[in-house]
Amino acid sequence: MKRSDCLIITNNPMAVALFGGTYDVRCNEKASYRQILVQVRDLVYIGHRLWNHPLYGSLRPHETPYRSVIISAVAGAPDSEDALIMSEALRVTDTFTPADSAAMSEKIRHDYQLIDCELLQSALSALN
Amino acid sequence: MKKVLFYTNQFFGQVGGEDMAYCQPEVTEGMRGSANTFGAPLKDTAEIVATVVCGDNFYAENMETGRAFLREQIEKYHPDMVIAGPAFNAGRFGIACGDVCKTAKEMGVEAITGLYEENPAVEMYKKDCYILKVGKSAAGIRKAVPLMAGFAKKLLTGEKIGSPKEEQYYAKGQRVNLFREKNGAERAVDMLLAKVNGQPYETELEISTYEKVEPSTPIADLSKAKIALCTTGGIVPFGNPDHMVAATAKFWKDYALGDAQRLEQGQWESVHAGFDPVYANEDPNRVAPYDMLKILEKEGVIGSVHPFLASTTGNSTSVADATRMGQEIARRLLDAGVNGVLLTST
Amino acid sequence: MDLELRNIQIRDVVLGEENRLSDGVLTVDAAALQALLLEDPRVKSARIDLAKPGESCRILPVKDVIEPRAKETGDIFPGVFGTEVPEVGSGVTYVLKGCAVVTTGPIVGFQEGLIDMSGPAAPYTLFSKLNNIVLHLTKREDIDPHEHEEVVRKAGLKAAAWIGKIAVGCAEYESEIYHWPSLGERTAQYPGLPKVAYVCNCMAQGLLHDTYFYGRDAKQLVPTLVSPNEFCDGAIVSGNCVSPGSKTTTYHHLNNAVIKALMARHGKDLNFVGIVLNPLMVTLKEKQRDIMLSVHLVTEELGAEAAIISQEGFGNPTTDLMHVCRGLEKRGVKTVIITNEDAGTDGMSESLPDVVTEANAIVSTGNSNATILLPHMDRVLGELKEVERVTGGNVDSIRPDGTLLLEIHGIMGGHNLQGNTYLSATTV
Repeated sequence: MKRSDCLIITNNPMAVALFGGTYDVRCNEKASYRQILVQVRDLVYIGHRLWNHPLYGSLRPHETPYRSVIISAVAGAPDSEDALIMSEALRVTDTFTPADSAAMSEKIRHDYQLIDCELLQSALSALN
Repeated sequence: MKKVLFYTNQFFGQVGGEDMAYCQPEVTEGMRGSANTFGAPLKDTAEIVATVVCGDNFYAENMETGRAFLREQIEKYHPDMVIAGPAFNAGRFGIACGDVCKTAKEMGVEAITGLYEENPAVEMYKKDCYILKVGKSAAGIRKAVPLMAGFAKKLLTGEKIGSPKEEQYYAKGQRVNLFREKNGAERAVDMLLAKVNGQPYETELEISTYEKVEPSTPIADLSKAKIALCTTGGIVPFGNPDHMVAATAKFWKDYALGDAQRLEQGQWESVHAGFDPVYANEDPNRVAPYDMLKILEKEGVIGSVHPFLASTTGNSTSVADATRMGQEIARRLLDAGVNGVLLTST
Repeated sequence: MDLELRNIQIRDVVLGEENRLSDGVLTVDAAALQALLLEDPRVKSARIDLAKPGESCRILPVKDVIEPRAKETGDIFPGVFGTEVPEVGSGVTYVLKGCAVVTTGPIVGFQEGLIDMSGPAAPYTLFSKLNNIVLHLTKREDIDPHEHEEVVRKAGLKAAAWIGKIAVGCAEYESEIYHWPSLGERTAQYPGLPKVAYVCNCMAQGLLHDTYFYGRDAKQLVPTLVSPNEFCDGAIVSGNCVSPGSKTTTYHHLNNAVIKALMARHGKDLNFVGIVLNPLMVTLKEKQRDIMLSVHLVTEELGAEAAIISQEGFGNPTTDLMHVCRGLEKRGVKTVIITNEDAGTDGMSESLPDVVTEANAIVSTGNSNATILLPHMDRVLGELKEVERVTGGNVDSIRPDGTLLLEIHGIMGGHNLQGNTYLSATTV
């Protein structure tokens, strides 16, 4: 039985392997860091609530190519603070030249995925 | 001895007044017109090798030609620096000076000008070159010349340039690293004690903050509401009959749309200089989606569409001007019984 | 609570056959130190090197930097080792100034910053001015990244505590007293001076983004009152390994610059009433709770009139920083924040990912994205070839002539957000 109250939007395939059994994980491996934020922003605009900060962790957008954002499964009234956080996150992201995951070695990609999952795990364990 | 190329307009170049504002660019060896006032203060460091004079209207309306002419002169004279103006509060002259400096900088030649703080060219070009703070009108020339010449000498001799405040130039807004005498924690304590004791202190990072606008409550029944369209995308009737400006707009226009169902290609265009207007010109509804509003009106989603387009250019517009224009537009729309506004930006 | 720090200035470190301290020269028994590190069965090999100020030497990738310290009685870094969690902050602590233990070895492939002992990067970091004892550890193959991080973190702390013990009993020292009475006494003293609190933000988010408080993971922490004395005795240690320029190493926690600066003015210009250790969490709910609790502790518990907030990390921590600032200012607490900037390589972008109007007194520790060209170094300690990406640069930025183009946030402690740096930025 999956948790029905939240939804994970990610481009990190490891997140599906680790959390797909317990959570609803929508993974688009081809999406960029920015595209994941855009997808989340658009969902926030129609009333999904943001559960973790989109710029979680401390790696900059030109370092890690991965993002995993937890939002509420159901859309309610749009929240202006959440919308603001998303638009600011995108503005900041756009000041960096994005990380090129295609140019990374398998090991680096794996390690970035791992760190992303660790941070996601922290966020998930704080949801209740 | 360093070489300086001087740029000025028809008036300060002594070609003529407003009637000569369309005169084509021309170059004179040595100093001409107001260039003469710079000769003496620069003399130990640099020589003004040539003066370019161009009519303000000519430059404003034929920028590419003006730039090309300037590039030729730079290639011919190999100056170490271009000094343009000062243009005080003159709008077109200011933009020409800014553009001349930007063009020179793109060729790797140092360039400075002098403008009054309200000159729209300050916002447009302060990122591209040093713009010194000068008076509002030509009466300020006596102060402007030593300021600009002194700064030019510093740049030419490679002397260290002080802060915008010390040197009296408009900050480019660029953050530059430096080492300070005390560490960050000690500075934080100094700043805190000043703040708590009501003494002056200077934050090391200015945060630009804007007044927060409280969104109004949603329209209860959209199907009965009258909706207006408003844009800061610089959409104007083709040919720009009202001379809407490309940047730093101080006015807005209300265009009647009558029975139109959409903004037709070829009848409208964008004069906004902050983005590539090709797609807006191809389909002006992309910037001002009047077509969609009319469809929603037909579908009964919205009650009616206010048959006017309120338009201005939102490009380096000052907050004060934008606030005033917003209030003017709101008044007009309220008088017309409009219930809601779709405001599009670019 | 009274703590006496006995500071011993070390002017040179040598590797020898016994542990000895004489005339400012620290001799470390290399074989014994190595044996100590190999006591942990998860460590496969441990190599010990020295890196001294002015040498043509680069340490990369650096995990943590730790100042050697030891308590006359009891444990430094309480709760990290053993089964007990002893109380610290009183008694006598010996400190070996002018030297540090530096741990290196990549835990993940993209990790960590560098320390250059000379050249243009040296002025950016205080670590270039120390005699560094560099531990290069490799782990047994079957150890996962979690455990690997723990192995390296603990090895560094263990070595620093062990080396610190060499100082115990040394008669030549400069004494520094940290007098920290109970809360009631603190707030009652110096009635004419403004009561100042310090909010110390620390990362608490997951692997390589953590801080440990009495040896326990700070993700389990809520904002907590901590004394300067506990900082000095290693109650707070770093498990944070990303964003080297803006991370707080254990060395920074032990020598917290804000605490030092406040202590220097305590009783003269201000009354330093307390420290709130504020963990920076991942979810927005936790952030809201911790922001609220930090503000609550500073105002309702400490009754402070003014506060300094220090920062750690990039991105989401700015939200915590700004909202604690807003919360305090709204309650009338005059606040100064310390932060770095990410204004882009050209310095033309907005500096911060989140701002509030109340943040009207900011100390900047510089633009992280500014680049610096670093020359070839004769000696590289660590595993340069193993690291495909250095934070702030990548191997592509290592040019054929050995020079390296790096954003300054790749330099360890390069723009430390506790203000332990002279770097800043200004607008031109």
